[in-house]
Amino acid sequence: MKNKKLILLIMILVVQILTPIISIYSKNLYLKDAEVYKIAVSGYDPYDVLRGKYLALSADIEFGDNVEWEKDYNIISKNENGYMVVTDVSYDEPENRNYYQELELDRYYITDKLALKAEEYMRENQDKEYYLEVAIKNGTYKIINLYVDGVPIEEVVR
Amino acid sequence: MSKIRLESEIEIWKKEEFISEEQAEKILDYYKGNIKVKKNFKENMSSLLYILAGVCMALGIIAIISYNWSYFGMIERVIIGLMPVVLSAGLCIYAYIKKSDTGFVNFVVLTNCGAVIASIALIGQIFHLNGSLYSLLIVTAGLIFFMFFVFESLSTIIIFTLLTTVGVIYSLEIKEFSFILFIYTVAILLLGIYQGKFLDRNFIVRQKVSNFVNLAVCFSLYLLFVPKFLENVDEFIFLMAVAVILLRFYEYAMIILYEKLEIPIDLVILKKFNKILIIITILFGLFEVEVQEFHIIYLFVIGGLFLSKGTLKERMQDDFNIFYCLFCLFVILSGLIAFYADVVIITSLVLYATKAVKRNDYRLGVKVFNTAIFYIVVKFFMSSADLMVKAILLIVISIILLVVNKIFRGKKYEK
Repeated sequence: MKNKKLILLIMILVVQILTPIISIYSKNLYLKDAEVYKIAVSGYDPYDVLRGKYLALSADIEFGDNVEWEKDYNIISKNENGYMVVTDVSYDEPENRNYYQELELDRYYITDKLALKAEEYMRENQDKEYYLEVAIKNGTYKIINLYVDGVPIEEVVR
Repeated sequence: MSKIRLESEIEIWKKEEFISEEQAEKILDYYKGNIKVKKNFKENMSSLLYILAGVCMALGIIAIISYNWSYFGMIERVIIGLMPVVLSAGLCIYAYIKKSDTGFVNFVVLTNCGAVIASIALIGQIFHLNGSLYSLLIVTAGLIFFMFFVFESLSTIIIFTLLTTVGVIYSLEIKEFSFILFIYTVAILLLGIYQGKFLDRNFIVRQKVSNFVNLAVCFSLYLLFVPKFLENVDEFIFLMAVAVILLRFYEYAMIILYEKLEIPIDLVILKKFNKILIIITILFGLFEVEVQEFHIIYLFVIGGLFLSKGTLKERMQDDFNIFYCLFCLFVILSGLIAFYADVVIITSLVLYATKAVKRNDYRLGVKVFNTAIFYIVVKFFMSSADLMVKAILLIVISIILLVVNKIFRGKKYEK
C-alpha cells in the first residue's frame, strides 16, 4: 500500500512537471507551420500583482468591407503590409481557410524594469508603428513579439 | 483498522478490564474525529517560524530573480519557470517519506497548489501563450486532486472544491462547461467511493443518517443558488452570502435539536460545507469589490463568522485557520481591495492581540505576532520599494527568523 501510494505520488508529480512543458511543446509544434500576422496595437502600463508586469494593449483589428463584427469563426487573410484582415465571419467552422475564434491580445508580458520604459516610450513616440506578430492556425494562436517599426520592443527600450 | 473492528476490539478490552468505560469512549471519540489531539505548541510554533522564514526567503529570491530577469536567456527562464513545481515536488516526497504531521501536510498541499499555478502562469508568460483563468484553475485542480489519495488530507479536497467552483463559474459562457461539470461530478463521486472505504474519515461519508441529511441540505441550497449566477455574478454572490446565513441558522436548529431532543446528530459535514461556502463567498466578494453592494456582502460573511457557535477563536482553529490565512494571503497578494484587506486583517490582529493581553495568553500572543510579521513582510514585498532592497531585507528577515527558531527550539517552554 505504501509503495503504491509512493508510485502514485511520483506519477502525480511527474504529470505536474510535464504539464507546463507539454503546453509549450504541443503549442509550438502545432503552430510550427502557422501563418504569421501583424496586428496593430497601442498600449499603456498597468500592474497586475497576481501576474506581474505587463503592457496592456489595445488591438486594432482590421475588418473587410462586408464584415461588421466578429462571430464564432472569423476568417482571416493578410493585407499588402502583412496585417491581419477579417475577410469573412461564420457560425460554422470554415474548411481550408485560416480563422480565429477569440483573440486575447490585451496584454503583453514584459519585465518589471522594461514595462515602465516601454510605456514611456509608447507614450512619447505615438507616431511609430506598433504591432504584434501573432502565429495563427485554425483558432490556435501564439503571440510572437511586440514590434516598434519592425524592431522588438525589448531591444528598443533596453 | 476499520471502525467496526476497532469497536469490537474496544469491547474486548473493556471486558478484559484493560481500559475503563470512560477511556473506551475517549478512544472511540478520537477515532471518530470528535476529539482532536492538541499538538505540541513548541513544535507548531517552530514549524510556523520555519514557514515564515521560508516565505521571506522565497520572496527575497523572487525579488532577486525579477531584478535580473531581462539578463536571463530563454533556457534559464524556462528552468526558473519550472522551479516552483520541481521544488514543491521535492517537498511532497519529503513530507510523504517523513510521514509528516497534518499541519505540515496541509502546508505541503497548499504549496503544491501554488507551485503548479505559478509554474503554468510563468511558462505561459515566458512563451506568450494565451490562456484563461478558468482553464488554469481547472487544470490545477485536476493536477492536485489525486494528492488526496496519497496524503488523505482534507485540505486537498477544500482546495479542489475552491478551484473547480471558481473555474466553473469563470467558464460558464464556454461550450466545454458541461464537460467540466461532468469531470467535477466524477471527481466528487470518486472521492465519495474512496471515502466510503475509509469510514473513519469524515468529509463525504460517515455512517450517520444526520450527515447524509445535512449533506443533502447543503447541496440542495448550493444547487438552488448556483444557476442564479448564470445571469448575474453580483446576484450570485449575494445569494451565496444568504446561503451562508441560512446554513448558519440550520446549524443552530440542528444544535438545538441535538441539545433539547437529544437526537444523535453529527454536524461535521454541515460545518465543513459551511466553511467552504464562506470562503467561496469571500473570494467572489473580492473579485467584485468595485460594486458598492459588496460592502454588505463583506459584513454578511464576517457577521457569519461571528454568529457561529463558540468564540471566533474556536471557529478559527484547526484546518479553517489555515484557509483563513490563505484567504488573508490571497487578499494581500491580489491587491484588489487593499483597503478592505488591511481593515479586516488589522482589525482581526488587534482583536486577537487584545484577547491575548486580557487572558494573558502567551500562545495566542505569539500567533498574533507571527501573523503580523507575515502581513508586514507581504505588504513590504508588494510595495514599490526597489527590488534589490526588498530582496536583501527579506533574506535578512528570513535569517533572523531562522536564528530565532534555533533559539526557540533550544529553550524550554514552561507554560
